[in-house]
Amino acid sequence: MRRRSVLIAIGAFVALAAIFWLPWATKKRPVVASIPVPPAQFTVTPAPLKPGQTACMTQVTLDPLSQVAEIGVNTGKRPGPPLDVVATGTGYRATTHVPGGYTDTPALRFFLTPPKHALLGRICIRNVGHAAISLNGTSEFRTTGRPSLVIDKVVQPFDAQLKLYARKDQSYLSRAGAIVGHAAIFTPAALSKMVLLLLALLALAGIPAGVFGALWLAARADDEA
Amino acid sequence: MRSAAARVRRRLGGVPLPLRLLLAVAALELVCWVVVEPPWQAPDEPAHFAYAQHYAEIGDGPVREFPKIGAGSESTQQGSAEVWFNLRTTLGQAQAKPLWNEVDLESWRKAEKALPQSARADGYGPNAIAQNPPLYYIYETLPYKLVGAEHILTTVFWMRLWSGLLFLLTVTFTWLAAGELFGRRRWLQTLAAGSVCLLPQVAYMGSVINPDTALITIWTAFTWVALRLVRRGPSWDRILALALVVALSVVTHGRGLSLVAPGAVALAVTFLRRRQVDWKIGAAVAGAVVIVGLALVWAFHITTTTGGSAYGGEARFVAGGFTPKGFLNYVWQFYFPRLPGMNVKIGPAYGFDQVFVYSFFGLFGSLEVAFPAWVYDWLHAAELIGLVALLVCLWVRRRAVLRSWDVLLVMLATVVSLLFVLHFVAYRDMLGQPGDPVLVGRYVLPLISLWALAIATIASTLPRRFGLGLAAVVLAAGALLQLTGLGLTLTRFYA
Repeated sequence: MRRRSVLIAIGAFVALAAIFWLPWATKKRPVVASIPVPPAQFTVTPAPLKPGQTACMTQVTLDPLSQVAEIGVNTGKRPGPPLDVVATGTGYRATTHVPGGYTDTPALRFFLTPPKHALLGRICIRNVGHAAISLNGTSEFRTTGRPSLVIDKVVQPFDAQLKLYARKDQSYLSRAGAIVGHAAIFTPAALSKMVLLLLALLALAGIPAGVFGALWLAARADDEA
Repeated sequence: MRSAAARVRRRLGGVPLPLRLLLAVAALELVCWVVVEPPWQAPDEPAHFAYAQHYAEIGDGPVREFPKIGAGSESTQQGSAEVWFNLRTTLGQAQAKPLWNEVDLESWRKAEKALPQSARADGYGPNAIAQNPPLYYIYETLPYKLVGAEHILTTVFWMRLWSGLLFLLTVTFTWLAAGELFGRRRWLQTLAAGSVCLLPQVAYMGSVINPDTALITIWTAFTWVALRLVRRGPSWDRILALALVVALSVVTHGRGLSLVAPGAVALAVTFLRRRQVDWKIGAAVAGAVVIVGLALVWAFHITTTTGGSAYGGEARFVAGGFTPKGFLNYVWQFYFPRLPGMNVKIGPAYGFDQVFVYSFFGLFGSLEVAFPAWVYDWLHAAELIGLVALLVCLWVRRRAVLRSWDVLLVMLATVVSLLFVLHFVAYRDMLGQPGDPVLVGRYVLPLISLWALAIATIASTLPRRFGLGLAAVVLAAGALLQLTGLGLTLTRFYA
């Protein structure tokens, strides 16, 4: 009897896990490279960028997945001016041009050529048009990030929203190693990416096996008593 | 020395195999939770860590008011690490991610190395949780001192694991409490302890720096020692054990004060039932009163010095605008729909669902990581069905239940005492700040052992094969929830 109960529970567990987890783990989603400054939670602080001005975000983490950058802009409901973007770091420089004509958007995206390896760099945006815009910024304690915003060499008391993505969407399952690798940054060195991957596998198998095993052994002990 | 080690080995060898397996599962869960949740992302964790670090460095807690000294609520070291990895930005905001690259870590190590020694000790306050008594933070001083604070990320990791040992104790005490209530019926002990072990919110809270974890463990220990006392009768060691647990609760957190009442009830019903008093027991009772009294005096004194009033105002009993009718009105509408003639409920639309379902079963991160809504609907339904089933089981076994009225009374007193204090404080505070409901599921987790014993009671009333089936279903659901919670939290922060 005890064997049947436990086996049925294991079967149900595996079936439900497959039904719920597989679609979730294999669904393709945007791949975040880093989010140096997220959007403001409550109130956007405008970071004005007049024609000819350059806004630079420093201490930005750039890595090979930093292929698409996303900023927020306010054009005053007029077509936005063209922007020149330069991303730099030690041994790295990439430029891109954002054509004018875009309108107010919290998610203006443009492509970047990413560095070959991760580095701390800067992204500068120059307004090369004739109309002023403002970048969506934040001065909230909870959304200001590590990068500093410098406009025409003057450090600003607020940050500008910036997100970096990979071009291609991918599933959690296909990125399991990378995801676990991110977690390894905050653990002692002994818990490397490989160790954490093994830990994840151990948890997936060990948690259900452990509790069902405990129940089975307990029921057997009671039968024998 | 060798014989002591042999004795410990023999003792450990006597631990039943199912409990060993459950503890292994609990340990595995604990490590996983510590890994998937970046540092300082749990509710109030930055403040709790800051308190613990300040205590470890200075030998005293931070203060609630502006101290006109130091760097603020957190040390320079902690604050810098939070800024460097965007860990303030991620707090409670699902769209933000920490900076997780190897270059972030390398550059932080250089920056951290350059910080002066004083950067670890300058978090004098104002700290919002400075009103807490220091017991838990003293406990956290041990790993802090042992590991050192040269690398704060490593220190947090080990402090979390150390706190997690309390979670393992919670599982163990639940096992023991079930053994006390049901006898040596291992499958019921496994079901009760397994239910606690697999409840995602308990495991999650076990993996972060927060005295709520200690309170959960202490209250679970109380369930065990109170059951022992009531069922086996008075003895000096049982009485002192009860007093010690109540005293620990008092010096751990303001909410822990509410364990004094069920402690007194347990003692009273024990003597009502078995009128055996000798000098040893009389001395033990006197000792118990002294222990709890000293704990109360010490906790009130020490929290007055940090917060301006006892427990920073948590233990203040008179409030402007408080009326018994208003309080009953609020409590009724917390659980049930408003009746005709009742005033509109104070505070936001917040009640049973939010506290006993959502944040009881699992809200992770700083409450921003949740299961899909339909999962909570199912859990809500299961909870209500379970409650009805429990009442039916108690009715079916009413003769046995009536014979154990003392046990039931102590359990009821424990539940009522905590819920009364939680609702009282929530109502009192909402009179001043109606926007904040004050109550979350982790505040009721000290009752977790009673919840687990209720599940085991239902299973024990069923014919054994159905009971075993129910046990398997409960544990399977728990394992699913646990792993799902881990996966959601991992991907929320690191994908």
